[in-house]
Amino acid sequence: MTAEDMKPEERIDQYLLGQATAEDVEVLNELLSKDEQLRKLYRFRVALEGGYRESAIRGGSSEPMVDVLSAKAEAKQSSRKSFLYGFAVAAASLSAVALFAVMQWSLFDQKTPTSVVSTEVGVPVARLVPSLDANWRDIDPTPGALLEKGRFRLDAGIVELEFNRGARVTLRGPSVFELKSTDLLHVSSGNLVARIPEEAIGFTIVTDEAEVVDLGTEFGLRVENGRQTEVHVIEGLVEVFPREDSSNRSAESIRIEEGQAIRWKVGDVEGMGTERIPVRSSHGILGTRQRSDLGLTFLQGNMRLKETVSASDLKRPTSSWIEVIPEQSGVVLQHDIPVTLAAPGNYRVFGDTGQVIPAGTKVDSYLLHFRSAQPSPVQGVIKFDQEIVGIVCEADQLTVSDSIVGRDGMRYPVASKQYRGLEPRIRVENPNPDKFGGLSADEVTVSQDMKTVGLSVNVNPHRGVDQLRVLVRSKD
Amino acid sequence: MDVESDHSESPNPISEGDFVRLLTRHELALRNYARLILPDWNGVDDVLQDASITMWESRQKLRDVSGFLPWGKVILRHKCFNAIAKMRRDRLVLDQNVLELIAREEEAETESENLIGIQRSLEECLGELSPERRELVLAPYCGAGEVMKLAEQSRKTPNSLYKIIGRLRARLSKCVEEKLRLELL
Repeated sequence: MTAEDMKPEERIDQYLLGQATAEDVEVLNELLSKDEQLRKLYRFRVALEGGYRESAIRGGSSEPMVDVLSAKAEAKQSSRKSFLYGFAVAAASLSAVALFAVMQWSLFDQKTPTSVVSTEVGVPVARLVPSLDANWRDIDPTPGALLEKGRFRLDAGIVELEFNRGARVTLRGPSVFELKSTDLLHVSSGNLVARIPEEAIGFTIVTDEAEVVDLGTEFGLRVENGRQTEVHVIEGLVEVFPREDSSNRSAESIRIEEGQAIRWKVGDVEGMGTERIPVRSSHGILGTRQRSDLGLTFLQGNMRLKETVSASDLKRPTSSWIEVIPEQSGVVLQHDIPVTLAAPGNYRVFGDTGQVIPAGTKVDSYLLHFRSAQPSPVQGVIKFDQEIVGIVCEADQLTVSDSIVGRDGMRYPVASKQYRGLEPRIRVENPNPDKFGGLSADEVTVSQDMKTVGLSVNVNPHRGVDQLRVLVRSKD
Repeated sequence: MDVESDHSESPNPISEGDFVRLLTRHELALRNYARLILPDWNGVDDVLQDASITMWESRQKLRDVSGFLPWGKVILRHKCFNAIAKMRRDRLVLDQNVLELIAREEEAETESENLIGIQRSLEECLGELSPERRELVLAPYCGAGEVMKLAEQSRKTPNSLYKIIGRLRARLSKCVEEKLRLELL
């Protein structure tokens, strides 16, 4: 650790905790001798020091503590009582009043330590929040899924994990990582960006070689299993410690400040962090566009962004996800284009209402696609940066717009053969699932500001596909 | 300071009972004062016991109860610096001049009542932490090797745990300052 960049109060605590080196003590001497305010702070920290010790002796605060703490506390109690006992022996002529005072004191000391807090085996440690093209090995968690301790493989895509104490980590596959606890993540490979709020102090990420303790708010890692690790500090401060079982055992910790980055290679016994490298942004670390870059500022529910799409992807089941597929952007319409919805409201029937987006409008297009083997409805909410100028959710209209704003080379479903679009297309009392796409009506809600769309869709398993195309005013 | 010279005795010495009550009342301030000078808690109790015996033996020199704490601190300061002289051989201690400066500035100020306020606020702030974090922040006071043990359990390095403890202490310090500030309003 570099000595210069520690705050004076950190130095005081370091000294009080017995962690200061000779050099640290020398610096602290210098600082304290010159600064009366700092000496005042020293006295305050010592007063707190007494409080920590008292609390430990009493077995913690009002909340339960762990067994080991209680046992140690009892040991400390014995040590505390000895002072008074020794004094009482020396002052053998103590009066009855004095003895009473002694007894009161001892009783205060003997407050029963509180008991055990169990560990969190089997308890979820993180929550999966919406992801981008995520392709997990062996599992297919939905947004909001709670993840327990364990090892995970993300073959592709980007996932965001929210740990129970508030730390947020965005990982890009391919990545192998292990959730070890609510404040410990082991990453064997992959790129990530971690954002650690104040309430998540202590969140730590370990790689096979190093341990990264956040002292600020945002940093990124690029971990190449068995080869090298990079640490990029985007905001705040980070301290990196060599792991005790690593080849860098003898190396000292390194403090990395905002705007700095280091790279070290496995087996570099000369020390860590000797190689400074240009810092990358979170965007650069994750190596892909962010949702906001794509014009999407919010995704909620069972929706995921699918940026990479093969020609036949629309034929594959999407499981319980509504996939959001960016199509062409900056398209200037040469002709009027028919749309199903063009105003705020809640819609449960979908047909050709004669509405159009006029020629000359410049639009960006997103296809919302859902194909499932399950009949149950799936919901999601998506917000766009730009105003929605029209939503196409009728099968024939979709076919018309495929050739105008759809992806080149994409094989879109043919309306006549499949239940494409949303249903019912006309108002009916009892929709027949054999006739219509799903077992219950699809539903679309468009917000007053024409920027947010809420969806509830369901399909006839194996037969139907729900799609709608959202056209927003292009920001190009 | 309300203390007679080394060779004279007060015409109205405090009673034995009063002495013990005073010692009990100011125990927290005296313990804090000793810790201010000594580099760790090891030895604080021993030095305090040694000093209290000296105080007991020389209690006849104390004029009145209001002078007990400053008088006690002078005795304790001498005991602490004697102890430190032996400690310097095998552990890191702040410079004598710096410690004397700190000790002198403390002498006029801190009563047990102030410390009780600080510690009560700290208890409240500790109560706002999760049990695991409270355990971590108190671990250095639970015996040698406790932090090491937690490091092994959590599969982190002790150094990184001390770093986390440092951050938690900074947060708790702010929390206490805020509570004390609100009390003054």
